[in-house]
Amino acid sequence: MDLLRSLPIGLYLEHPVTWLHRLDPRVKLVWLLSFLITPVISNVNWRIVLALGAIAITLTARIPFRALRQQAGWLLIVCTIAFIVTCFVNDGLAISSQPRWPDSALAIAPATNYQYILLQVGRFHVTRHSLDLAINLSSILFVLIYSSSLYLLTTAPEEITAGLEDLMQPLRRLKIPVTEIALTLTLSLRFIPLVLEEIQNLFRSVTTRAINWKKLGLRQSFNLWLIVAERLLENLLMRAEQIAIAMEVRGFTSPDRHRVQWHQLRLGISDGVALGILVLFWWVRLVWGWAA
Amino acid sequence: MKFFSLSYSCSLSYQLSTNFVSQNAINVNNLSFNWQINTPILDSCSFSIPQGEFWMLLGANGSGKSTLLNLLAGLLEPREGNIETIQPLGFVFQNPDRQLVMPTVGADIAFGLVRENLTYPETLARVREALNAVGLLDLQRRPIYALSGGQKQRIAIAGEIARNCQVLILDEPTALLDPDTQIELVQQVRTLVKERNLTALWVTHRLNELDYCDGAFLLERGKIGDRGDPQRLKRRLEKEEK
Ligand SMILES: Nc1ncnc2c1ncn2[C@@H]1O[C@H](COP(=O)(O)OP(=O)(O)OP(=O)(O)O)[C@@H](O)[C@H]1O
Ligand SMILES: [Mg+2]
Repeated sequence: MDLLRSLPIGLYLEHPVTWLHRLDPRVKLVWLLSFLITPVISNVNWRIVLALGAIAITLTARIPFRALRQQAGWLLIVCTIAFIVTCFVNDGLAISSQPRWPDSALAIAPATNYQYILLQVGRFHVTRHSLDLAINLSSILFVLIYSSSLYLLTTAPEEITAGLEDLMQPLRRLKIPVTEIALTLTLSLRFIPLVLEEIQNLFRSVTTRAINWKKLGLRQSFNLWLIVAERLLENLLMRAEQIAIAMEVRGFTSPDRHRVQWHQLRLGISDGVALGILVLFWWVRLVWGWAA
Repeated sequence: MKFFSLSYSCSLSYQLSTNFVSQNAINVNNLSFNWQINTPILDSCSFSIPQGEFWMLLGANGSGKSTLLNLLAGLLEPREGNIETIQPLGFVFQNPDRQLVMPTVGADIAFGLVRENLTYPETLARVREALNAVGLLDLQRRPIYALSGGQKQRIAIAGEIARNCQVLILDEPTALLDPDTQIELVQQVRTLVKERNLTALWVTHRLNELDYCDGAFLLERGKIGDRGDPQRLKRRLEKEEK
């Protein structure tokens, strides 16, 4: 199962139970959506506020470092790479600055210390525009991934789907099978680790066979991978069928009635407070957060 | 119907006090089944298991043990013969990954309770009681993928206990476990059977598990070839292995 353990996101933290765990999943979902939506067409300050806010939430919830180590480390690396790359690559404003006047002996002192090019390293340079872009990109990446992973870390999979099911209730009027969709989603969340395990097993079975890829040639190796993919699909279908049988034996009722009573969705005082702060959050964003 | 004298004081006193004298939890009469024509897997096979006892089923690979359990669970239709069991009946598969369907432990156990239309507090109480019975109460919120094989198997059993299953049938539950966990699981099932007056039928290949059961069957050529005292069966099979 090492493939699963090395995945950067989506691992539920069952212990310790923090205040984030206790918030209603629906409230958390609305907050998450706000974190995902508000960075769009916003200024850099707002994004930095979001990033710091997400970190502040982590700190006040006292989420242990061990839970975040893997994900945060991975995320920081990605964001840093994105930052550095966008800093140094061409900023898209294809200006090669040319003096408008012929060179003269008179050196005119610049009026301000404004400089478009901030840093020059050999052939590469960081311009004001590319720095802006870099901060934008890396902060948005950080906010999107970090807030989602915080949500998954503190909300049990079936809590998420129970929340979704509840929020989708109005769709029932349109004859959309809400309970069935939620149940399918929950079951598939359990199925993902099995898929990963299956992939890992097959991958191992290929690697342990000491295949001489050079000798095999492109066509043959393509065929080999095709066989592996076919095998994977076959195994997954078999697993799905086995699970279906198990569900039957364990007293499955019917797709539109099988609501597992496990998470009680009830809004408490803290949920009210969280929603109140959310209103404030949006107000600040709409007043001050727009991009210039 | 004649039973070998395997009197455990607890089950005996229970039987006397409730007039359940020699009531059977599972009764199988002249059961026949075949996957292909002319190759019967089960050939008018008959047996019964007394209520409150822990029995094991042995047999060579491909002798039809899993098929028999599937018939008991109603997953297959017999060609002939009939099966009577106390309901509800719980099934534990060899591979717990095939049994546990929800992402976390508590939700998985609650999955089997939907049929009873319980309220949330009732469900919670049932889940906790079942987890307590297998000694894993502190794993209630853990995701299934983060469990060890032995723990998964015990969660699978807890799921069936939560449903108040009176009969448990287990298809090689220890096949994927290491020797220590294996013995722990057998002991635990034995304790559960005795404490809750359940009935269990356990399929196995490992002869040392026979030390924990009340009786055993051997399935051979579609029939019960031998049955009775587990120690005698164990000695016989050990001799045949040599
Ligand atoms: N779905 C199926 N379709 C056709 N034949 C099957 C099917 N399942 C099992 N069989 C056949 O039925 C026979 C009995 O299989 P079964 O799985 O019941 O044996 P078993 O005693 O459980 O073996 P093991 O100890 O390996 O688990 C085998 O010969 C097998 O090939
Ligand atoms: Mg079998």
